[in-house]
Amino acid sequence: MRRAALAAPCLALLAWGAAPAAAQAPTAPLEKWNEISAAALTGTDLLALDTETVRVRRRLAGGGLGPVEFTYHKTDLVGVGLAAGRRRFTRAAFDTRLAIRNSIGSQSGARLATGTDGASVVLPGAHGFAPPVVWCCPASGIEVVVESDGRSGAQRALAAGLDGTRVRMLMRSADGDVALVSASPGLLANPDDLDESRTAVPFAGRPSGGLAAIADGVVAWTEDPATGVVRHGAPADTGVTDVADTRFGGRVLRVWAAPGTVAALVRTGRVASVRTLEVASGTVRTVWRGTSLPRVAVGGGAVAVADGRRILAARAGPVARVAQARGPVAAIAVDGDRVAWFERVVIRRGGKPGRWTVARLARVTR
Amino acid sequence: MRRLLAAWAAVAAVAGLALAGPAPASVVALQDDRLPNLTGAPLVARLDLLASTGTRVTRVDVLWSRVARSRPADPTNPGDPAYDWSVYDQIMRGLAQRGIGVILDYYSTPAWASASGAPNAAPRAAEAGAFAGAIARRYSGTWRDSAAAAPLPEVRRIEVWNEPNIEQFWTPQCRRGPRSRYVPVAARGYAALVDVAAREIRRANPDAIVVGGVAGPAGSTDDRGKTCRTGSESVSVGSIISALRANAIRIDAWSQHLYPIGAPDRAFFFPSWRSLEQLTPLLDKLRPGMPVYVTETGYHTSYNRFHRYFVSEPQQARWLTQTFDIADRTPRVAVTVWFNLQDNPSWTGGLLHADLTRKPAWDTFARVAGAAPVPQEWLP
Repeated sequence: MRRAALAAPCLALLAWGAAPAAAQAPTAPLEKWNEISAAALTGTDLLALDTETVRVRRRLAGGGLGPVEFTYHKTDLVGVGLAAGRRRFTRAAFDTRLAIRNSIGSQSGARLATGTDGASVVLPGAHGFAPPVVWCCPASGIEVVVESDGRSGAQRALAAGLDGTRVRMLMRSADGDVALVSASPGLLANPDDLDESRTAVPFAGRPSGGLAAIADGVVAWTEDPATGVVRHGAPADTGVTDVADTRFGGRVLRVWAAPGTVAALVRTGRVASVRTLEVASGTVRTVWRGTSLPRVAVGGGAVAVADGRRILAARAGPVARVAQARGPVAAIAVDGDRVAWFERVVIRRGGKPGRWTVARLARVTR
Repeated sequence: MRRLLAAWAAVAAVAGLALAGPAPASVVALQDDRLPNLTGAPLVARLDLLASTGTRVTRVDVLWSRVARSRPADPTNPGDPAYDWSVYDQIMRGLAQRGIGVILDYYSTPAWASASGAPNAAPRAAEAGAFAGAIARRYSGTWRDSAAAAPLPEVRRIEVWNEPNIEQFWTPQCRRGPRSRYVPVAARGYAALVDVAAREIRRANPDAIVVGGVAGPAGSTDDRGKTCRTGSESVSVGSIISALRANAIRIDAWSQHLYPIGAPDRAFFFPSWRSLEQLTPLLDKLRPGMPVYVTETGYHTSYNRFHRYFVSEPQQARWLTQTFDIADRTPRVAVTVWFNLQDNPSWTGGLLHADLTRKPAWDTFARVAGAAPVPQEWLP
């Protein structure tokens, strides 16, 4: 019994790679089981959006009869370095790179896009307010607020992504019109400077809900999810060119975009499937099929799917198993060579079980 | 029994409790940080806009780097030819004409006054303290900017610097010391500045009220100010108080900036209204019953990179009312300054949007300010 009690914390430390700070780690933990709304690999880092409604409760000295309680909502952009060419992290801990907090409503469903230069764009979920769009910060660590408007009739960002160094956003006004807004926050000398390069042009479409995605050279959206049709084109400051419709079949539940690729999660009857479109050739492939709704990531010419605890990925054709998670998967990311996922596990530390979300890496093998 | 009563009175006085009737209400104030960027007719219009909110007290940032573009030969003399006070003279006269009292703060190190040339470089105490003396002398109520003119208005309340515990205004906060450890330097440096500034301010105007701290809502080093965990850590409010106390530096009031996460009556993360209870015992060690000036507070209505917490516009209006209510119920708080009049991309806590349209908080502030008494001593 004594030996088992000793072994548990040791195993726990090994499990999340609590190695000396300088050593590389096979895993990186996040405290608690917060919602990981999105994850992405930039080539040098694994990024994730950690979203939580924080319920604060504390009994204060001289505070009267009961404890003080209040709630606020947050989205943190957290990141950890990746060891070059290896399935290891540079350290066994995430650091917080952005923190978006409010007392209005949940930020659940936050989205994250990354670009070729290591920059990222954060679009928090926004229940009851127009979400800010924040560009963050490959070299300086200094963010740029690309969009932020607290007025009741403010435009709402439906999607945001990086097209080269250009941030592209689909902004819907109160009357329902959508504009394609472009900006270059990474080129500003000072993050508070007016972005003279900012453009806004009408967008020839009305994306439904959050069913739109933007990446380098591609914007994809659906106007009526029930039709199974996804529209896509090439974004530019002057508008979207080469617009085409592609039938994905079934009902469109989510849309992703990556350079040269559009993907959608569709449902037909009880069957859900992940389908990809190779934009250049127009080829649509079904890369996964199942009955539950999986976590999906697209990037670097690969697709990754977390089907229950099975981690599946492939650069071409149907995804194949590359790893098995040890707990429910909260989010997944892929960059072509590596797949990263966040699994929710219970780890005993000091004899007490604790909830942790642990990031792991595997190689995309084919 | 008499001894017991006397002891109770002393304790109550120390605790800031009001024994002789209700405590004076906290003065309601509003800052407009754009004032120093305007001159001439636009400044006049802006002063009218500020006055139209109903505020009777405001806070004005004096940018040292703008007043003293070159090194003055006689830095405590406001008439030194290196100084250009023209904007501030217009502001002070304009505010006085409108019956608005002023709290002055100053910051922004001139390029000539630091090795790095950066405006947030920690100033040398002698130079920055001398400038405080120049401010106090110029706005002592007796200084004439020309022989024919009436004396410039008096400003009694002078804050020494702004948020010395935030890197944006004072750097470095920590410096690499022996054995590669980081040691806090901002608190000690700030205490040295207050020491000189307080002396110069009082020399220029014996009636002046020297306000120290001006502490931002940040800082995480231990309160004894011994260690920094990293080079980018900010010094704590407690460590500034400790540094002032260790050097027996006398200030007349402590200024604290509060930007609570959560409603004013609920938020308790330090510093917040509820956590002032933690602050006052520390301040009592500087001087029992020392008043607290909340010279910045507010709620932002959209995300910005300087303040990553925001609320809705209706919430901002409700919580503005709560802010001044709780200030009124906190006897130690002598004044509460809402920051700011108007939004800009870096700061969205205004009563007005960037396009000058009103938020709901505008009307709320006007109602609160209209109902709040302002003691004569605060008025010009």
